[in-house]
Amino acid sequence: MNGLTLIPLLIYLSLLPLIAWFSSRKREKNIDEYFIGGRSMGGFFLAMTLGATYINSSSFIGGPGLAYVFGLSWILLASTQFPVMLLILGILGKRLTKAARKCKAVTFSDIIAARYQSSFLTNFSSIVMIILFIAGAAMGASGGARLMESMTGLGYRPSLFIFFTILTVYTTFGGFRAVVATDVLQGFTMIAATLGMGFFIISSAGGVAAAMEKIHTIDPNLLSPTSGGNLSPFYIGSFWILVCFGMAGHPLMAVRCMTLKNDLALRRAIILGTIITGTIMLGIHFNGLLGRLYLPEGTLADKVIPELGVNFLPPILSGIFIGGLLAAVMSTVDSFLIMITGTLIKNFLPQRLQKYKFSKGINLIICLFILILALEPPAFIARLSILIVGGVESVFLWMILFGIFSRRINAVGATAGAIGGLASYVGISLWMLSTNVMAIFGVHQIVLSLPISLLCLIAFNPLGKPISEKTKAIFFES
Amino acid sequence: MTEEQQEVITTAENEHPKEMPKDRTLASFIVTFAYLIWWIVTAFFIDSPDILGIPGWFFYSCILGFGGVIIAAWGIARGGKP
Repeated sequence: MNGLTLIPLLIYLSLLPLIAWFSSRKREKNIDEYFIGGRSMGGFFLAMTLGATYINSSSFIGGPGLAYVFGLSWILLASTQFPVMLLILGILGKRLTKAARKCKAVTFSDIIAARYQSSFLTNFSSIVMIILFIAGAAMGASGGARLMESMTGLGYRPSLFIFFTILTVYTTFGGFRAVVATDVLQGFTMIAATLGMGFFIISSAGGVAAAMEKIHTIDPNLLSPTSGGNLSPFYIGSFWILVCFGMAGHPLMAVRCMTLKNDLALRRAIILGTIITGTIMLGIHFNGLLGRLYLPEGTLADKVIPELGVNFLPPILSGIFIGGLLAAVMSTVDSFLIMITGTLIKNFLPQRLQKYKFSKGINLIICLFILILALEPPAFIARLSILIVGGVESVFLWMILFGIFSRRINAVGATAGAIGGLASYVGISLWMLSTNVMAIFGVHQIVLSLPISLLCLIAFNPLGKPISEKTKAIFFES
Repeated sequence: MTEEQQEVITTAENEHPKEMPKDRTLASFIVTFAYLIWWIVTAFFIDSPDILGIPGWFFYSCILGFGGVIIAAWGIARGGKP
């Protein structure tokens, strides 16, 4: 790789700690600030952090690679997520921010504790989050390092150290506010990478129509909604539940909905978040498909986007693009890190240790632990990481939605729903892994686990006690 | 009241975000489901010639669909103005 490629990449990497320092200096030093950014998030920041956290390496690299393999039908699959920001913010934003202020919640598990008043449910949720997010962070770090290795030629370990040291520094010293501030840069880098490559690749193909025609001559199935019968409409459609509807139950999204400054922030974030997330997703998947014109037949799906970025872009653009790929990974991993620390401190440590300085120390220890895991990721970590989206949704979706919309649902019902959702998702996923099938009854397993979770919740809810007046006041009265 | 004034008022300590109409929640749900229906119908049930060189089904479901979601998001955010 040449020097011109390195310049934008180095600028990007060195800006991250600087931005973190800039955003978090002269702020109050308390855990409200450290874990939730002082509840003062404006619309633009909220939109960028939601988008950057939502987009991870599987949607920025894996998905576009599959668009290269399956054609427009995989872009159709990705386009199920267009309303996701509207949905998350529209249904959670106001209610979670209000409730979080009333009960002084700084982490997602505080909200669960305040709503359901059950230490078993709170601890269960916290343990699920900590374990899965550690797996997510470790796999993310390892994936990011491998990406950097393949694109810069540095070895795996040096790449991991560089990449992870930067993450550790800015999350530890800046906390949530640094995570959000760096998400803005990371979001912009992803936008620049997506649009830059899009313009370059479309103009060298001679326009969209010409590109489509060339793709048609390569394989007409690439332009059919079912990829010529390779993907069923039910399978494609089931991703609407996984990447759109179910995301309303993801703690990484919900915790951001606890931090709104005011209604104006919410309204701006709804518009900006929808535009930004949709543009990046549509653009990067389209780039993956157009990779057909430049990459040899049979390129591995996960290699498509990195190969395009390194080999088919002019040096400076290529540097920005590599930065964009790292941004997709980092912006998700940093959110995992701060969330693990917050959950651990608020739930498993005595009150007197829930302090600002101590939080920094714990975050540092967690980062080291994840670094060690990522050096040689154990097989069970890779197994666990398939649960990060679907498994988490199966545990939390109904817990959150009923938690803020229905005063009839109590701790017993929510616990049954969470356990039923997790057990069914894990069971079905393991069965699918062992028999090596891609879909169950032709759909993604989330389509089965969410109804099972809902049934458990409804069946066991009558056994619990009605919620207290105090809880009602926090969650259901303005 | 201008937006700036409103912002100052609602950021006062311990102040909750300004009350938003209940319908915004409902509208977000409806748009999410309506988009799914639009997406299914246009992707799998419409036989249309190419538009601007792009296959018709893709143009309607993904490109027009995205535009529609943005307009809906804008409408919901604007419409909720207190």
